Amino acid sequence: MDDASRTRSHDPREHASLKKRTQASSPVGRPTHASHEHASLEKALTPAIRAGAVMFASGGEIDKVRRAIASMLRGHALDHIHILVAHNALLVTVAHQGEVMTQVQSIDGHGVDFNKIAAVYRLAKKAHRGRFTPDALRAKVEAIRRTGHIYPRTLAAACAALACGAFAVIFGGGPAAFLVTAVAAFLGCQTRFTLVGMRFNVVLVFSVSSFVATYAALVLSEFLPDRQYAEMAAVLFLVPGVPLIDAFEEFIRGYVTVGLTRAVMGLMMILALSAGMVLALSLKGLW
Amino acid sequence: MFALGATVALKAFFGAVAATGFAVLFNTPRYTLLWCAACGALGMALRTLAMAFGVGVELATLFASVAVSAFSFWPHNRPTLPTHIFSIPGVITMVPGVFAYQAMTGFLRFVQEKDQAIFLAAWHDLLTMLTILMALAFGLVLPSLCLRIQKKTL
Repeated sequence: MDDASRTRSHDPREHASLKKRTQASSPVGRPTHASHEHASLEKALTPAIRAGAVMFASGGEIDKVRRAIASMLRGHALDHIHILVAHNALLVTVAHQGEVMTQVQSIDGHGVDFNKIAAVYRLAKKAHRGRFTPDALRAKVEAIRRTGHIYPRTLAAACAALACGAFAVIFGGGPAAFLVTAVAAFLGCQTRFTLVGMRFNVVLVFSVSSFVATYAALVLSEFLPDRQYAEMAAVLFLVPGVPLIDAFEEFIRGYVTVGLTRAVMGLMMILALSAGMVLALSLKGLW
Repeated sequence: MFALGATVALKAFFGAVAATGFAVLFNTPRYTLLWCAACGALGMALRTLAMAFGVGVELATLFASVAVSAFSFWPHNRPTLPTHIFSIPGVITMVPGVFAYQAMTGFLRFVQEKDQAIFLAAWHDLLTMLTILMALAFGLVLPSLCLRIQKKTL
């Protein structure tokens, strides 16, 4: 996300030579109006587009991302703000007094991090009221981008395990099914965090984690009368609920292209999850 | 009636547990966890009640997700946070993961066995999953579509 590539409507070499010429002719060597305009546009645009990228990569829905970027740019009295969001890049064009600037920000990975979404949302609200200078805003966005997890990964895995155990009870299982599901889901979740930490591909992470969770659930629930609940619920921490809900919300709001890419990614994750489960069931002779 | 009350209370409690668990997994700020639990309990209780009165799973999900989304406007205004921080963990318990799994395994089984009944069952599961997801997403968006008309900023 660091490598924001910046382009202008004019050729940069031409701009540099023009800047040199005008500065040479200026008796006191002050920056010209155009270069000052360019620098102020860049200062305004960079934190806004980076904040939008953080929000989108953390599972933010596209309409909120667009509105957050627009809010951050609102205090700069721009003539036009145009925002295009693709699945792996953000593109924003702004115009002020004839000067036009476009920035592209790549989005490297998608995940779910509501803490970052909340932080960007609050920052954008404050920026809309004009509370920050561009430099302060940039520093705050960078701080949000570098924020880590609030909860230790083991605690997060334990909470996901409890959630899966609760699902087993909601489906109709008893206390034993709750316990078995929770243990199996904990193992699966720890596998997922380990593989994500090792930067493996998301499809592989989902397959291996669902295999571990299902196999553990099958082994542990061997003597349970209601083992089907444990088998079904142990992998539910992997179901890509946020991308799928976001995808349908984007369809409803009219952002069909981004919605489609999110939905396809969600279905790919479910396919990977099912493949891992099928492998575990085959190994136990149940498929 | 007592049995229904007990079932609703049990599902609401475990709905709250599941919503909190997912909220932690999604790295939701600490001070919002109680609201996420409340959203999870409300969603699961309303869906169970609606289904107990004979409403289909899709409509019951729509009803519950509209209620959760409307409820999440209450905490939204005080700490100034997006409603989705509360409502998504609240409705995540209703995401049709089992239907999704059955659809995918059905298609994989059809590849092996070429049985038309398996193919039709898999399509049925897939369509049920998509309908429930649409109901969930539409329920989440509906209150904001009614309350904020085409805002360009936050």
